[in-house]
Amino acid sequence: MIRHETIDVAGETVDWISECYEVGGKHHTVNTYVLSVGDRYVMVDAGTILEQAEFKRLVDDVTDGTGIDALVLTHADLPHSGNVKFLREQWDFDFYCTFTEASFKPETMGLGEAIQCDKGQSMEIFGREFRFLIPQPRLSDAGHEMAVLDSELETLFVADGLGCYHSPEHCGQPGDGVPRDEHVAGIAAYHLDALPFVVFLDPHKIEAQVRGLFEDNDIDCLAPIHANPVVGREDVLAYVEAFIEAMHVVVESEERPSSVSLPR
Amino acid sequence: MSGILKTAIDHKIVMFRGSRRISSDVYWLLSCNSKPDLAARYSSDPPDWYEPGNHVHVSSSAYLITGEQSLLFDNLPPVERDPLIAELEMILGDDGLDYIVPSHHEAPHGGNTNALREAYPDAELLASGYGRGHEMYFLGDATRVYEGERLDLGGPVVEFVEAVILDTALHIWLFEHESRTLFSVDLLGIPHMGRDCLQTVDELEFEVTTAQLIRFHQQALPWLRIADPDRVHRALDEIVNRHAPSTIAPTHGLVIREDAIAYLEKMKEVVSEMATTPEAVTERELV
Repeated sequence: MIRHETIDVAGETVDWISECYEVGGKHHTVNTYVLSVGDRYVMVDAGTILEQAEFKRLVDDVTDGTGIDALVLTHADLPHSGNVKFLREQWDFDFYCTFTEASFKPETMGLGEAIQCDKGQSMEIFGREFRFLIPQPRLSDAGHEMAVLDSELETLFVADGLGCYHSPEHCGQPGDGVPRDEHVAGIAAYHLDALPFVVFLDPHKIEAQVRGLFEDNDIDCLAPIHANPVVGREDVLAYVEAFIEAMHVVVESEERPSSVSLPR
Repeated sequence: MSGILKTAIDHKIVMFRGSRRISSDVYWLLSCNSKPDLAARYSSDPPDWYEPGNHVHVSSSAYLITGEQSLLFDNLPPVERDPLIAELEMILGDDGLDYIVPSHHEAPHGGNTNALREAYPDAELLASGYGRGHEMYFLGDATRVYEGERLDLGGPVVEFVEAVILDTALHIWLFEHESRTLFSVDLLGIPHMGRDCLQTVDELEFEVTTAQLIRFHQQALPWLRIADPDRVHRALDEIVNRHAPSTIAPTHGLVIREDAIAYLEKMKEVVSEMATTPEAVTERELV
């Protein structure tokens, strides 16, 4: 199922397109976000290949038919880039990514030219500063993955770490107010499924990295690609605490993801 | 080695380097991505494995296993579609390809899956049964394979191996019993000098160093920086205990035909060093 909601971040509207997929009674989400920057539209990530017609309809609605003006990709994997080619056929836009010099650079994938983003640097897109960050903690399934911080909205877009399964009744709802134990369980289950190498990690290192990220940056909205967004600094920090607890649970439990059965 | 073809794109930045038979049943097909920025950096401050003036390459490999039936494990980035298919036609002739097996969906590994299915419509697509969301990766109709399952190709026998050191969840390794070759995908990748394309590690003038391995793994598997080294070491030991490979064929490195287990042991040093060293280099390199 694909749906469109809006979230209010510091008085501005952020459009949130979510694709939900059922996973053992919970839902896994794949999110796309659209920011209104002046009279332009900046999209972060571009969804999967599975809902293209409806995805286009929603983007049409969000942009009043004018389409997007820029796309920023956290990384090249298909759940994040599934609609790029499709979007290119509809509209002209600037395309920002980290892999313009890779063997799979966008031109060779039929995605057109792109502007290189370097992690650790920032760029202005239509006058708004976006910072491109090394994902912290290092919960990436692609080495070229980046996190994206909208400096004006103080909103962090992150994939694939910090994701969380949600209950069906929470589809399309921000994660603020979800009970902590529900977040802990959803975060743990998501990471075991999506990033099975978590069983090899040191939870203290994860904790140090994620605390550092949120101490070093003003983040008032956490917008994961694989979790419902969380709005408000207090709720963001509560989610971070739930994430830290979940990482301890994952690493210290005897339960193993289906994809890693070798001894830890 | 067969002839070397170059793609027209980017003036030799991504190049198909041809193929080489590494055992009676296994062909190694290689694509290289040249890294001029790395070459410039290394020329001014050469690491032990590098001679100034050489190109620096990061590679993607595909492996063709041939018996009475044939199986292609991994299939290079999309830009290599035409030279890959041309090379396969040259090797396979009229026999065709029986199995297409991307280790996972990422472009350097599965970039030509759909093109190969068009070129070889009778080939069966196999994919890891681990992980979720196969439909999102054009793998929805693939036959799922799991640890321990075997395919007798009429000569070589391959066994699917659960990937241990991995990035994506939807991931599988392979082991060929006749040659005792472990296809380790993202494990044991290295940058190499342009003059060493299609050379096996034992043929290199310089020994593969821990630093060389770190250079690759810190980009490809950044989670190793926050790993508990002991846990990863135990997993590496288990690989040795279960398979005792005599050859290791990584997707992003050169084939290891001698002292394969010693290189798995060397990975322990890599993991230990990565887990205890702060990140110091930019990440623009080795993409």
